[in-house]
Amino acid sequence: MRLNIHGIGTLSLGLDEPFVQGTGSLQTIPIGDYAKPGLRRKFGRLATMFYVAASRAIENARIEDLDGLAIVTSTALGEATVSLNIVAQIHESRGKVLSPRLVPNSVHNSPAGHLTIGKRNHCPSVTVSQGWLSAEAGLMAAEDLFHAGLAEKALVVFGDEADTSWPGRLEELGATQWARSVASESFQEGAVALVVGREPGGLGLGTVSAGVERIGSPRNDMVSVLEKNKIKLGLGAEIRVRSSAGGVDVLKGIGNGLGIDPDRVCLDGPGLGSAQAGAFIALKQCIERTDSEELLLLGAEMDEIGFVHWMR
Amino acid sequence: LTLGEGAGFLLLEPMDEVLDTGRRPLAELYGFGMSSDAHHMTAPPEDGRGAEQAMANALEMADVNPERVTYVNAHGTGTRLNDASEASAINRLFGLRMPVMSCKGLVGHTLGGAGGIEAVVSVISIQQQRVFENIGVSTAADDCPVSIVPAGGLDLSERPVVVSNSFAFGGNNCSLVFGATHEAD
Repeated sequence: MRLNIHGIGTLSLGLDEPFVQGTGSLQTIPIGDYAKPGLRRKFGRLATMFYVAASRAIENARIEDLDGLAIVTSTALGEATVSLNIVAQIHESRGKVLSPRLVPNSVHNSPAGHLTIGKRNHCPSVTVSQGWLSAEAGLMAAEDLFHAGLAEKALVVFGDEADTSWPGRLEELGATQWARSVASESFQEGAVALVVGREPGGLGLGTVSAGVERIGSPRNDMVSVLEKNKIKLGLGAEIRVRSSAGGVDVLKGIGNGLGIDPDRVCLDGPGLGSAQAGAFIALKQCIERTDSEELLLLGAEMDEIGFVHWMR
Repeated sequence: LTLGEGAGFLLLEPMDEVLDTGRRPLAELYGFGMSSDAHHMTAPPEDGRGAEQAMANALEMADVNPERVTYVNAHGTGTRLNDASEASAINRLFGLRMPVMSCKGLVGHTLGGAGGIEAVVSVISIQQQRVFENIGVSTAADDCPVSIVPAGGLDLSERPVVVSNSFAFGGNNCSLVFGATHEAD
C-alpha cells in the first residue's frame, strides 16, 4: 500500500539545526510554542521532541479536527535518558529511591501517551520499535491500521534522542564498556512526523511505502528487496543506503538492469548519524526538493533490510 | 501492583491458508479494537470510557453482540484506579452478569508480556471450555460492579467467546475478541 503524505513536521539535527561531530543533541526544543507548562512539564525529552514534530506536521497538513487521526510512534531507543535515570537512582540509593514519574515515562509508548493527552485524541495509538529500522516499522504500522479499517489518516512520528552526557554518566555508574560503545555510535537526535492517509493530499508531498525484509546478507541482498517488493525505479531515481558501504558497492555494480543509475546511489554515512535519523532526514530533504521525483532509502541492520520508497 | 515476568506468543495465520492445509486452528481471533483515553499518563478516567471504546470497537470488528460474550479476561491489575475504571466499563457493556477473570493474580503483571500471556490463556479457555479462578481475590470491591469468576473456576458454554483487555501507560487501550473457529460450524 502506498501512503499519501498530507503533512510533514521536523525537529532534527541536519534539518532544523546543523550536524555536529560525534554525538549530537539539539540546542533548542521550542516546546513552549506548542504545549502549555502544565502539560509539558511531565514530558521526557523524546516526548518533547515528538510533540513539536507532531504539532508541526498537523499544522502543515492543515488539520483542525483530529477526530479519526490515529497515532503511530516509532523509536529505537525510547526515552533513553529516563531509563538511564532509573538505573542511576537504583544504583545511588541501593534501590531505596525511585521517582514514580520515571517509570511511566520510561516505556516506549510514553510519547504516544503524552501526544494523545495533549491533542485530546481518542483514536487508536500504536508504538513500534525495530532498532534502526524503526522508521520503516512505523510506516508499516500505519499501513496495518489502514488495512484493518481503523483509520483513514495517521500521524506517524519517528525519531530518537541523543545526549552528549550519556557516556559520562555511564562511566560514573561503572559501565565503562557501555559508555565507550555509546560514545562510538555518534548518535544524532531528531524527530520527524508525517501525516499520512489513504486518500491523496492536496500539498503535493507525494506518496511513500515501506517494508522490512529478513534476509541472509544485507550486503548482497539489497537487490532482492527491490525485486521482492516489485519496486521498479524510474529514470533518475535516487538511492540512499544507510550505514552500509558494501550495499552501495553492490547497487552501483548492478547497472541499469533494475533501473538503477550508479551515479545516483550514495551512502548516508556517519555524518547522518544513526540509520533512523538518516532515513527521515533524507526523506524530508527529498520532499522539499524539486529536482528528484523518486527516492529509495535502504537501511540494513543485522539480518534485515528496510526500505522506504518515496515518489512525487 | 505485583510484577511478574514471562511472555506469551500466538501464531496467527490467515484462516483460508490454515484450512487449505487441513489443519485445525486452536481458536479464531474475531476482531480487535483500540482507543486512547486522552486523560492521564498513569490514571484511567473513572468511568472507563476509553476501555469501553476499545471493547466496543473490538466487538464491532468481530461482529459479535455483547450478549454473545462468555467471559472477560480483564486487564485487572489489582490496583484501585484500574480495576474500578475497567469494571465500570465492563458493567456498562455487558451488565453485572459477565464473569470476569484476571491472570495477574496468578502470574503477576508481566508488563509488555501481559497481553500475550492473557491472549494465550483466553485461547486455552476456549479450547477447554473452562476459565480458572481469580487468584488472591474472592469478592469484588464495592466500586467494581462485576461478577468475578468464583473459586474453583467456571465451566463455559460450548462455543465460548472471550474478550481480552490490555491497557497501557498513557491511556493506550486494546481489546481482543477470541472464539472457536467459525468453520467448525
